[in-house]
Amino acid sequence: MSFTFDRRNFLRFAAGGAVGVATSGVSLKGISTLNAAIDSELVRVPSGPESWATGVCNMCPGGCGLRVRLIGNRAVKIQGNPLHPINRGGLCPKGLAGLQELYHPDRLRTALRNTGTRDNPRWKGLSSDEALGLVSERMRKLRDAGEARSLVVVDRQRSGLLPRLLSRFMTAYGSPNYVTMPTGMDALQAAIYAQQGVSEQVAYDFSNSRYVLSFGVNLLEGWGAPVAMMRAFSRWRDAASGRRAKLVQIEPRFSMTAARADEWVPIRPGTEATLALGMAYVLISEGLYDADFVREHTFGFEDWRDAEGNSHTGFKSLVKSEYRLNDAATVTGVPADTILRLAREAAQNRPVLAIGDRHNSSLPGNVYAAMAVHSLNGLLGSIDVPGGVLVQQQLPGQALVSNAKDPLLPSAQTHVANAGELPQAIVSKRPYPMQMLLLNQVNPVFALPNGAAFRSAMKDVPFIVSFSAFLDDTAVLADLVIPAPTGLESWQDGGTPPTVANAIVSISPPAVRPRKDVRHPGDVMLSVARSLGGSLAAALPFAGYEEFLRNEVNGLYTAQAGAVFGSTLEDSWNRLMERSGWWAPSYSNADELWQQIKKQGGWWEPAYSHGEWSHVLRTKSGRFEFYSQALADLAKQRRRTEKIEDRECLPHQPTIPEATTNFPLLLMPVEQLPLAGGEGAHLPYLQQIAGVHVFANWDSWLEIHPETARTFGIGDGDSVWIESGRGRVQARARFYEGARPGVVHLPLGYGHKSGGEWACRGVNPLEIVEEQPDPVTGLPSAHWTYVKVYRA
Amino acid sequence: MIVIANRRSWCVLLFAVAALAVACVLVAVPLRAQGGGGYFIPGDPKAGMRSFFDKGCARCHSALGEGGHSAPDLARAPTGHLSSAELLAAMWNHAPEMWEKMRIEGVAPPKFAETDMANLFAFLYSVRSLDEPGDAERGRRLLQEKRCLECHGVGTEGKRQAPDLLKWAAYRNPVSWIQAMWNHAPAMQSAMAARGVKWPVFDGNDAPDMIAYIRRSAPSAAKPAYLRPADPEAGRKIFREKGCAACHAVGHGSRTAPDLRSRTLPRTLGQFAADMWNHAPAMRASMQARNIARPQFTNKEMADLIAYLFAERYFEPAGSAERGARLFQSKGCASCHRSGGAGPDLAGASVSPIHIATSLWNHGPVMFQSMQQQQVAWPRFQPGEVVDLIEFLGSKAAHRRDSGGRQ
Amino acid sequence: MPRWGMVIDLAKCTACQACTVACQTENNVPCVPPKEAARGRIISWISVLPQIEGEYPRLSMRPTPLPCVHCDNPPCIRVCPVQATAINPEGVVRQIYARCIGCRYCTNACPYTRRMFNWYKPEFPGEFTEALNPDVSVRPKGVVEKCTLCHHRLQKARDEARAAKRELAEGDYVPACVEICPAGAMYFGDLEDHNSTVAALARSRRAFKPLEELGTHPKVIYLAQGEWSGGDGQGPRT
Repeated sequence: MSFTFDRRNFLRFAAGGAVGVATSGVSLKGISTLNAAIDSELVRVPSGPESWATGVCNMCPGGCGLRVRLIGNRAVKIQGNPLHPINRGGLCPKGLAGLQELYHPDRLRTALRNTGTRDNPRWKGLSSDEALGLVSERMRKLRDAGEARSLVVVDRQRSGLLPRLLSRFMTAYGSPNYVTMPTGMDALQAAIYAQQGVSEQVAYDFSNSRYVLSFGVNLLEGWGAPVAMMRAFSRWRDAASGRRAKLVQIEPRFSMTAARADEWVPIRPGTEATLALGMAYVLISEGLYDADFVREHTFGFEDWRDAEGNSHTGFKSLVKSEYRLNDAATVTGVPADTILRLAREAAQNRPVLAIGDRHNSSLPGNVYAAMAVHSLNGLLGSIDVPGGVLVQQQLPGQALVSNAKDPLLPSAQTHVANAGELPQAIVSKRPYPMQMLLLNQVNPVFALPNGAAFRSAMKDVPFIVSFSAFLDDTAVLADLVIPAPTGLESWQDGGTPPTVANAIVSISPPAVRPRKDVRHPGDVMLSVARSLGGSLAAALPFAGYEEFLRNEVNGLYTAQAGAVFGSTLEDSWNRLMERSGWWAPSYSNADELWQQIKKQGGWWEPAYSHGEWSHVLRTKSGRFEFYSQALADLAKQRRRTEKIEDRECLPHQPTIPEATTNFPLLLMPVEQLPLAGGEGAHLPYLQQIAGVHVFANWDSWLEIHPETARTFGIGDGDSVWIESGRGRVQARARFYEGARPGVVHLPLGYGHKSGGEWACRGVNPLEIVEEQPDPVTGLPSAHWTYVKVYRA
Repeated sequence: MIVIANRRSWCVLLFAVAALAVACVLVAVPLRAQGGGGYFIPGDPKAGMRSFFDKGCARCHSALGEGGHSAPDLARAPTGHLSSAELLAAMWNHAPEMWEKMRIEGVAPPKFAETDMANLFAFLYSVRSLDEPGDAERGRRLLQEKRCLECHGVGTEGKRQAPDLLKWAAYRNPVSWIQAMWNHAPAMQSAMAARGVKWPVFDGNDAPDMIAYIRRSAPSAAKPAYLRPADPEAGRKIFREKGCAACHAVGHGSRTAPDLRSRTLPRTLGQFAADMWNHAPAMRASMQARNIARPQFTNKEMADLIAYLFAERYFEPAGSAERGARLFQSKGCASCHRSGGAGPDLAGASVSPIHIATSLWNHGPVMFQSMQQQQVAWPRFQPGEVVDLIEFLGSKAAHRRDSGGRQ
Repeated sequence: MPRWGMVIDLAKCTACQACTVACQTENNVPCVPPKEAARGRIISWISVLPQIEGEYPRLSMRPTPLPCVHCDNPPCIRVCPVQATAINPEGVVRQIYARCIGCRYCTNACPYTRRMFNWYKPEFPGEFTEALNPDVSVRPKGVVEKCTLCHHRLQKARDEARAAKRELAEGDYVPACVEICPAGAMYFGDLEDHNSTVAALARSRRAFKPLEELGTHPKVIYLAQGEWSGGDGQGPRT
């Protein structure tokens, strides 16, 4: 049970710190001189009155609430807001590092205008007011020319109130092209759409789940809502909760999530779907699945006949014929008895959650793998039950997306348009050319798998405006950059974070005075609306972002539900009351609500109603579809045929491309918490702690298994080239026992091309990852990539 | 001001609590955030919830699912209505079992101040009155069995003679449903009579189950409509003004209609409201016979009315001191609790369920231990026995004081 | 007299390293530039040690947050030639910067490697100085520094309790790392107080002390990870 610490590890860890003693030249004689010299070097810290402000973290979409310690007007510490339902006073290192973002030396001081060319920019500073004038002027011209629809906005995320403002602006302006960055959960979300017909964000009731099967999802490394996830993990292992929940991590690499899981199942890369279906085989053949749920609420389990009398394969016969236990074991490399045991354990420890597939290196048709995993949720009756797969509640008020007619991107018709599709649309000029691009605090050139395509497509856009705090990889290609405030300097708001079921609105006033000539994107858009007048001004009649937020809070009040953030006890109380049909608000009018929100950090809906099938199962059949009729329709529409194969609608193992002699090693980029979402490389706090498992910091590294390395003549710490069919990058090789032989890993988030010296350290694996649109969803994806590695 | 005038000892307690806990908001069922009004259940249910968690009750017990799961959910078990006295009886009867479990787990039994216990009682009493979201599957069957769908529709199901029930899918509170139904009861009654449909009767969780099914069938997540916390003081007025008091009594013996403080009436607010629906035809007939106008209610009025009745039901009608005296002997209390006995003489103690519950936790474990050593069985109380015992102890106290015996 | 101690539940730790960053911001620990970081000169009073063992595919990792463990019998004190480090009556091992001559005997003597030397004048690029905490002095070049258990927070908590005319209560004084832990894996309090959470956890069957065999008597105590026990209703025992 107990263990001894390994002193070798300690020494290695603290290498330089301890070794220098014997050789250093400090003599006792020199000490007095040294002490005298020190005095002049002391850093004196000014004091002042202490106060605390509430905040909303915007370092990732995780939606945490903050408490900010102020000394005078200096923010000196960020902590978690103990009342916030997502983080309850805790915070991850990214949130803490927000302080360095505020005081960052590389921040933009003024708005910049490019007076040179895209390739050879010459930046000229201008005031925010002048910049604003320029934006209004361009937008007016565009609208007057009848080309309003050719304006495109790329937003950072869908959730929250700023997206609501931006999409409302776009609708009133007359453009259908409100686009967001991919969430990293696209395949998963597509599977939810295919099998449940739901396009809202999927949510998971982690903390009430008893058995979690993660198919390569980096649960503890920045996925979803990171702090909410960590709290759920902690609850699984809380003695007071009665029984320990089990986390099973199925992944080729020994990631941090694998290390912290109760069981790590090393699997042959890309075969997760086979494992999931192999488990389904066990559940079905041993009769361990939830027969009631399958009978009452699913479609396509048994073989069936359609209206025309054609017979179709059901999930059961598919699994029984193609994913027999021993076959699954052979394909995945996971022993048959392990698969058997996992399936039985899952059946005995409900509610179960099955989550997948990973997204950083995906196979074409990855949605089928995600469906294979999600089918386990269907089999085990985990749909919309406590501890199961839920659907995120919508915020009160109007729906966010107005699916306007005639959008630039095809995906906008079915869900929110994805920025990854833009390069293709820009270059083809179809259905019409893009005239103006507005980027709201996004860096697609760096973060998209097809970033390079985005970069070159930008050349075809006449006018590009970027709201950004730094001159990052994308902003540097814009015509106009308006400095965005960092988290603590302006009104902040956050919506419901990904994977969280309960509707949440976080709002906080500015904690400190802005350090630079910054403009909140919300303020910019509102003043543009004012200056353009007419219907636009009528749609957004607010003097500033604060007034807009205030108006949104009126909407929350009118909803007559939910509660202001409170202690866990108050939340339990409110939940209890709402569940039984009573609502006991702490406020009696909208103004009181606003005041309480400002003080406590936000409003949320503490109760969730389970089992509202008509809401969570919105497929054609009104059931959970093992056989997805939505995919059938999509295929028919796309190929203009009535003839489709059952396989196109059923979960299955996507084909895995083979390695070649030229490129023998599989490259799987990895995400880790400090630089999750590819953001944070410009912050020293995060650079210092990234890569702790391989004793690396401040730079990219290549994780390689020692045996694989020796095969290619590579030593630990060697500088190596990693080359794919697309290009090559250089990094230091680090021996890592947790890397699967034959597979190498590069961390994501490094290797910016612009944005300051710190941000530009290391290399971006997306530069060499093959990229191509997924055949099913049509979205660009970081594709399965083989590489060769050799010494530089 | 205190209406339960026949319960002197409780008056003493109520004043004591009110005087002690200035900050303690006095609240009635279900939660009312502001004080005011003359109808109190001593204690603040929300503060009681804090005690429920802080004192460690929630380590094992839950209340409507919030808390631990290794012991019964105190909002659901036992299933019937429990007044404060019966809450005490339930706690008392299970105490040794709980202490034993705590001993095994190495947890010390918590100690309570009387205000804590008052709050805890208020909390338990309140949550017990709440209706849980129902079982939609059962609701679907009930809608068929009760022949609701022979007139009403639910989306694509059922008939179209009467309004589609989805119209009210947003209503989360059974009380709202019953209120709407009550107001239309006469019209429904004649329509049913015309079709030969029997008046449907809702037992137990029937109403929440049916509501759950209707909610589930709504095309999209309907914006929920909740009831606001009710005001028992307003409910008392309604009780008088709408003419309820003409037939019903509340704990003052029976009149022509049932006493609404009866122990046999259901546990939750929704079930209570459903009972009203169940008897609507009979009540209508009786009202017609007496020439009383049939009252209509807004949903707030209905909630207030039921809250008033629940506030009243916290207390029980007086017990019998005579029976109490016999119990004091037969349960073995008298063998220790007498002057010069092993336990403190209980004569003269101010007695209320809350006081006894407080003592139970603060001194009970020791008492239990010494009883075990002496091989005396832990006494268990049947329904109604606690009030008798309290009546007896109260009268004993009164007797002592009257005869000048001061402790 | 309290004896301050910390309990870290390894079952709950997610290795996120929020403790490391919270400590740095709270205690004005500068970020060393990349070149120096590469030489192992990062200063962090609490680090998460990965502790990886085994070979693919039989691997284990026990990420372990490690601050100064505040030994009751600290080896660092005995080797200091100028009495620049001492243990106070409440069990906190402190460094007295003004006395430190930078000989680094203590950094060598500490079996936990939790003492760090300032090789350079602390650098706070740009406006990073704005974020400095006035409650903590910035250490000059040439001295050794280490975890203080956020001693300034104790002083503040004592002042506040005194002003409110009450005793210091459990939870009034908590170091920055414990306060921030998103998984709630860290506990802090008075080990002398039998009823405190830390004292109760320290008695648990899962509790162990790091490098206990050296006789250092650390006051940072770990709870072993435990294992999933097949859903028999038993969580990790405390």
